[in-house]
Amino acid sequence: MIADKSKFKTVLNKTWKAFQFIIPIILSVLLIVAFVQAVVPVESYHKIFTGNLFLDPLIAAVLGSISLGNPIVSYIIGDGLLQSGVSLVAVTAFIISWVTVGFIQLPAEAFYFGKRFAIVRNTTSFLGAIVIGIIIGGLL
Amino acid sequence: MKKNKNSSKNKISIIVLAVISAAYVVLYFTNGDMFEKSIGKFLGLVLQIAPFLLLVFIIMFFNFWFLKPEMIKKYLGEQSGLKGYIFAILAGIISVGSVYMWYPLLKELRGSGMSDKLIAIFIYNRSIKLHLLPLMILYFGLTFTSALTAATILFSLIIGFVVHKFTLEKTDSLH
Repeated sequence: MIADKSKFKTVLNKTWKAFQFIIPIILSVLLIVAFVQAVVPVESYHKIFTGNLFLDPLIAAVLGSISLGNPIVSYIIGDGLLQSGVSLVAVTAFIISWVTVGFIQLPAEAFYFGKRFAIVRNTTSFLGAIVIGIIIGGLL
Repeated sequence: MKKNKNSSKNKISIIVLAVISAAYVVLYFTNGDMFEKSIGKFLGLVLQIAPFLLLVFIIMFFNFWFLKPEMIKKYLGEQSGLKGYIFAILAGIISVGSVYMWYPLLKELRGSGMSDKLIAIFIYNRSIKLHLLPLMILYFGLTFTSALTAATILFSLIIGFVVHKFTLEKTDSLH
C-alpha cells in the first residue's frame, strides 16, 4: 500500500514534468495557427483552383499542409470547394494533407524526433496526399 | 547530463513562446483588428484542446505506470513484426487530440525501443478520426470515406518504410 502510494507520487511527478515541458510548445503552435487562420480567409481558397489534374492537387496539398486546425474545418471547406466546382482530386488532397502534413508543426516535430525524421515524414506525406487525391478522386 | 539537456530544451521552448508572444504584442500596436481576430481564434483553439490535454495527461500517467520498456519492445520495437504494425495503426486511429501533444509520449516510447517506422505509421494513422467519420460520411458519402480510410492505412505503411529507409543510417536532431 505504502509502496503504491510512493509509486503514485513518483509517477505523477514524472508525468507532470513531461507535461510541463509540452505546454509552451503547444501554446506556441496554437498562437501561430490562430494567426494563420486569421490572415487567410476561407473564401480565398475558392479562387485558386484552375481544374488542372496535377496542379490542383498540388495547390490543394500546399494549402492543406499550411492550414492547421480541427479536421472538421477541412471537411467544411472541402465541401464548399466541391460545391464551387473544384475537383474531388483537389479536395481529397486538401483534406488528407490537412491532417497528415504539418509544416507549421515541423519545428516541434524536429525538436522531438530530429530534423531528418520530420522532413522525410512530412515530405512523403505531402507527396502521398497528392497521390491519394489523384487515385481516389480519379476512381470515384 | 540528461537533466541538463531537458532543462535546456525547456528553456528553448519557453524562448520560442516568448518570441511569438512578442510578435503578438507588436501586432497589437500595429494592427489591432488582426490582433483581436488572432487572439480570439487562439482562445477558441485553447478551449477546444483543453479537455484533450487532460486526457493526454491521464494517458501519459498510465503509460508511465503500466508500460514497461520490455512491453514496448515487444509490441512496437524493431522485432515486433506484424503485431507492431497493427498496434501502431490501431493506436494511431484511436488516439485523440492534436498530434503535437503526443510527441513527448512518442519520444518516450522511442527511447524504450519504438522504431521510427512505427512512429511514422502511428502519426499518419492519426489522420483517421473515428469520432469524425459520421461527419465525413455526411459531407462526402460512405464510399469516399471508406476509400480514404483504406488508402490512409495503406499509405501509412509506405510512409513508415520511406521514413525507416531515410532515418536508418543517421538519426540527427536539432541539438
